[in-house]
Amino acid sequence: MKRALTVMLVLALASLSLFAMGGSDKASADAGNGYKDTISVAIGADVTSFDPHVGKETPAVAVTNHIYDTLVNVDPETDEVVPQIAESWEVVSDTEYRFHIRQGLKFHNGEDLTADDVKYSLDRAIASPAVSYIVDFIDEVVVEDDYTVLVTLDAPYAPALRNLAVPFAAIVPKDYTSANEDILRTAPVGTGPYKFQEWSQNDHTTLVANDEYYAGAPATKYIEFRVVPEAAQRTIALETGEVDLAYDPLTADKQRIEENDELKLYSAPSLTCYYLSMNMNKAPFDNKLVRQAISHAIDRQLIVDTLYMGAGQAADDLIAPAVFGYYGCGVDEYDPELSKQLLAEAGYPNGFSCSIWVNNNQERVEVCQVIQAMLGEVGIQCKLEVMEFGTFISRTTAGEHDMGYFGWVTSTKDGDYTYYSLEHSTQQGAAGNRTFVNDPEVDRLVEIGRSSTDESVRLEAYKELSIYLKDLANNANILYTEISAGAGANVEDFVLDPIGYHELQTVKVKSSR
Amino acid sequence: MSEAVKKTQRSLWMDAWRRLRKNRLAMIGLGFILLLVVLALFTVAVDIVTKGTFYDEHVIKQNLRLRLQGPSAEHIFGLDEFGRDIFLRVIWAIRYSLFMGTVAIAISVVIGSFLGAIAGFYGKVTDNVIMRIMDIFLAIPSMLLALAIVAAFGTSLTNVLMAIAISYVPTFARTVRASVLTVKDQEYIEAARALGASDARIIGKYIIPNCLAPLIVQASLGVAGAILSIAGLSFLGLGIQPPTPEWGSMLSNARSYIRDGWHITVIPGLMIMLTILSLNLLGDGLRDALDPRLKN
Repeated sequence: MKRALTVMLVLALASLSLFAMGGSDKASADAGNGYKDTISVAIGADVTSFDPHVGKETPAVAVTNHIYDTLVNVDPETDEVVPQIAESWEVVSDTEYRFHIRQGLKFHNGEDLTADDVKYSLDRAIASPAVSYIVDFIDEVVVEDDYTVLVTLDAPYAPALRNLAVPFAAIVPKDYTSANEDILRTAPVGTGPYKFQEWSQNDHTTLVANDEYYAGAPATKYIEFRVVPEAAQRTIALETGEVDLAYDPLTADKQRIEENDELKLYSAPSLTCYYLSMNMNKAPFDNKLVRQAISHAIDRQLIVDTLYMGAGQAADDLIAPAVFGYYGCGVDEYDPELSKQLLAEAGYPNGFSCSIWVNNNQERVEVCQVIQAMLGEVGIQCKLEVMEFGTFISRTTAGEHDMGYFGWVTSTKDGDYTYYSLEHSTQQGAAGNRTFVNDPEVDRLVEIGRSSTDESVRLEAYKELSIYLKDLANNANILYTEISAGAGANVEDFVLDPIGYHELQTVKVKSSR
Repeated sequence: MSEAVKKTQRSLWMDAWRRLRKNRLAMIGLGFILLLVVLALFTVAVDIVTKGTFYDEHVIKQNLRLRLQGPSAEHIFGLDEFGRDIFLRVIWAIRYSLFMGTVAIAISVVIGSFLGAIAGFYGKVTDNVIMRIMDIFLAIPSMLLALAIVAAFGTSLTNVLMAIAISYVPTFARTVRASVLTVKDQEYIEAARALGASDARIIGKYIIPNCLAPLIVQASLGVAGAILSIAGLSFLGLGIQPPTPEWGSMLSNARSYIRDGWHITVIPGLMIMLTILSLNLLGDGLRDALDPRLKN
């Protein structure tokens, strides 16, 4: 029955999409000052939900980040926590933060932003399963007066401010949203530098400048985000001048962009680590020796050198080097002989059969194909199963996988964000722990890193954790990627965000290249 | 008497063969298909003789440092995005396309002719019920139907086969029904009935054989369509899974490298094109050859 329903749904959707074809092709006009009035951006995927407490995928946030603001922000260049909706704050104690909200802020629909909206938004984020982990350190949000809130914590939590700067902790209008909890999904209202104008699903999103933005009106009137799933097509669109910015070009195309005088390439180490999660609830992945054998069978440097053409780095920790808490315990050396020996010790001298799951992103599928071949060399026969992202996430959340290939961005630049979600025993499944590791020592170290406010204590805990995890090998860390974007040479003041949430309010585009 | 009948029967097929042989394009098509069959059998033989080691060592073994290398004397079609020899992969992939295309069409020919024959022979309500159901299937584009089936039941060789087979059933049902309608009022059917032959016997022994010509034509065109559908599903990641070589998935994996190594997209694409073209030429030739009105 359920399958018949799926068949019907697919057919219905497919016929709908036939009608939806044919996009808009609005030429961008000159604003009269030698600059274009629209920034066109090619992004790889459409916004899944404009609700900031739901749509947390990087391509979604790259758009919605312009519509919403958070209490505080992290400057992408200096990496300092800076004021945004809160114009200042006091750390009252280890577990109490008082925020003074900027007065006179208005939502795009004209409502005033007050402490009530802040409380409502944070409570809403805590209640949202998709983003709860980012704010669940909060015990209570107390409204002290119209422009003051006191945030109390269950326990000391060092990265609190950084977590509040993550776009999923966005402040939304209480009256507008509480009247219809679904409304933000398609008709977002925030306090950000751009207002929502139009969304044509799987085609484009248009934002229009919020001239009353507290930090001054944005430099360009419109931003048009065009959905171009094929990475090669994004570069081509950039080359032909159809778009001004193209996010995440193919590795092979980066060189092409660099060599083109009309284009610029922005590139930096990202905060993303890709890793292979082994499901410890399943045999033989419950055996440490097997997991270590798998890790030693993978030649990470070869993957970086060839598939990524050197644009990346073999991973040792689960967090990238730029993240607070990175220790760097050394990449597991590629040693097929050791791997075979470990397998033999574990009782699998002839290897075994299993499967690797991955979502249908070509780059990831290619890495998995290489891993599949490398594991084959030591006798582990893997079946590669490529699935649609939603299916991949829900089935790995349920723990149906043997091994899954994942990527994780440390959005707060603080190790806790990753270690807590991916390694703590309470975070199994949806929150991110898809190895289903449940180890008291891991939990203890994660908790020290989480609750101590002493940086050196935290760093020491993360160092121990890194060494412990290397031995435990529940995740085989594969590589850290680079984040990059191509731009026309006429694009001014673009700043690359290491997470991928590039902010465009300062960007201007000259009318000709 | 019976010998005389056999003689004319044989010469009917011989006639068709003679006419087909005169059609140069159809013969080129047939030649290419036969070449593919021979190559496919050869690769199967190699796999059996070497117990799959040749396949492991040369067809799926990666050599990342040499990825995207262009055609050379050693690798005449060059190397793909994982440094695997494209020539070997292309010929190892023949079996999937040809075999699956043929099997899928064979399944739908059997089911389709059965339904079509019943509908045409019994007419009235039976005809209406069966053919209206077929009409519903026809209203859905076959690729979309196949996609929906694979999406619902998961990706596996059998599901892909069934998906394609089901989507071709209505075409064959219609073809057979139309021929049955013209055949069933002929005198020899009446004669058989007068002699007390059962319905099953009449359908199986007299009607179906007389509907074969259009069925053969339709099937040869159908195989071409099915191969394209398999390639299409694999292109979308719903068909054959890596690292097994398959033309559609080779094409799909190659598409982001189209600007860095033309050969890795062009070659599997060319193979698909030539195969489909050959089958279509052959099908057209068969249609002309089997049409008794074009006797000369």
